[in-house]
Amino acid sequence: MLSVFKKKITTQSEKKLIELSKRDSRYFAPLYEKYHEQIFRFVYKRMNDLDDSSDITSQVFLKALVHIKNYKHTGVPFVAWLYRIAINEINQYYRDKKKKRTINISHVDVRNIVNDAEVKYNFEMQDKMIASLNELDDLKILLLELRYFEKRSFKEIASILNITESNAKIKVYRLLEELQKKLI
Amino acid sequence: MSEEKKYEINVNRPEPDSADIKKYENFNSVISKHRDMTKRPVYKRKRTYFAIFLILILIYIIYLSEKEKKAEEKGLPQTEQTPK
Repeated sequence: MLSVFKKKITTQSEKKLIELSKRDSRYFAPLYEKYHEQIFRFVYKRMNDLDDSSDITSQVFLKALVHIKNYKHTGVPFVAWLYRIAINEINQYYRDKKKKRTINISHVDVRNIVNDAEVKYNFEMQDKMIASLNELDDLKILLLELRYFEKRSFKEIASILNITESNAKIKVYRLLEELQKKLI
Repeated sequence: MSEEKKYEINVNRPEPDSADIKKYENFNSVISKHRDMTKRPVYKRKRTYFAIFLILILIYIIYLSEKEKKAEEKGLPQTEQTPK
């Protein structure tokens, strides 16, 4: 039954699919297929476990289905709305489990941040960066993750955090200044 | 710098590949959970009110027919006869 729906609606636009999903949840299937991996990766970057990431991803799509009637297209991509739900679900998970939040970084990420913070890179920098990350609050960590670990544009960051693009730039630059002071 | 660690930081953790993630894809489970969550209780369904309405009409019809029967048994005119 579901496959029939999928075949019928794959050619329709995303906007149309969202409108159709408001009336019949089965029309949500192509949107789920399209964004599942993206949301899963987004969640997994902030988690330690694949199963937990899967549970949270399911919860994100379930919440999206429940609240899709309230979704209004305002020019912001649909996936940004899903990311916002994912951020709330991840925060809820850490609140409920009372666990330490997970951050995943690579050497390349550290090097990129150090370069943008205009600090000379050396082999001690990774340890300093880890120590500095532990002093930042959740929003600052989220900004770093979005900008440096996931390489998102300021426009995307702004739509995910529901702020203006210039505000996103200011926040990231202030954060780099803060890190510069910590890393020197 | 404070000694307390707020976050668990992993460095260079391998990413799962698309096939691994695909295994966790299950739209049917999402949709069935959604159905359970958004299921209307019986007393809020239109069908329930329609069924109650039908039952009431049926009871009224039975009541009327019983009334007619009793009137016939007593030999009383059921309705006013139009004069010829």
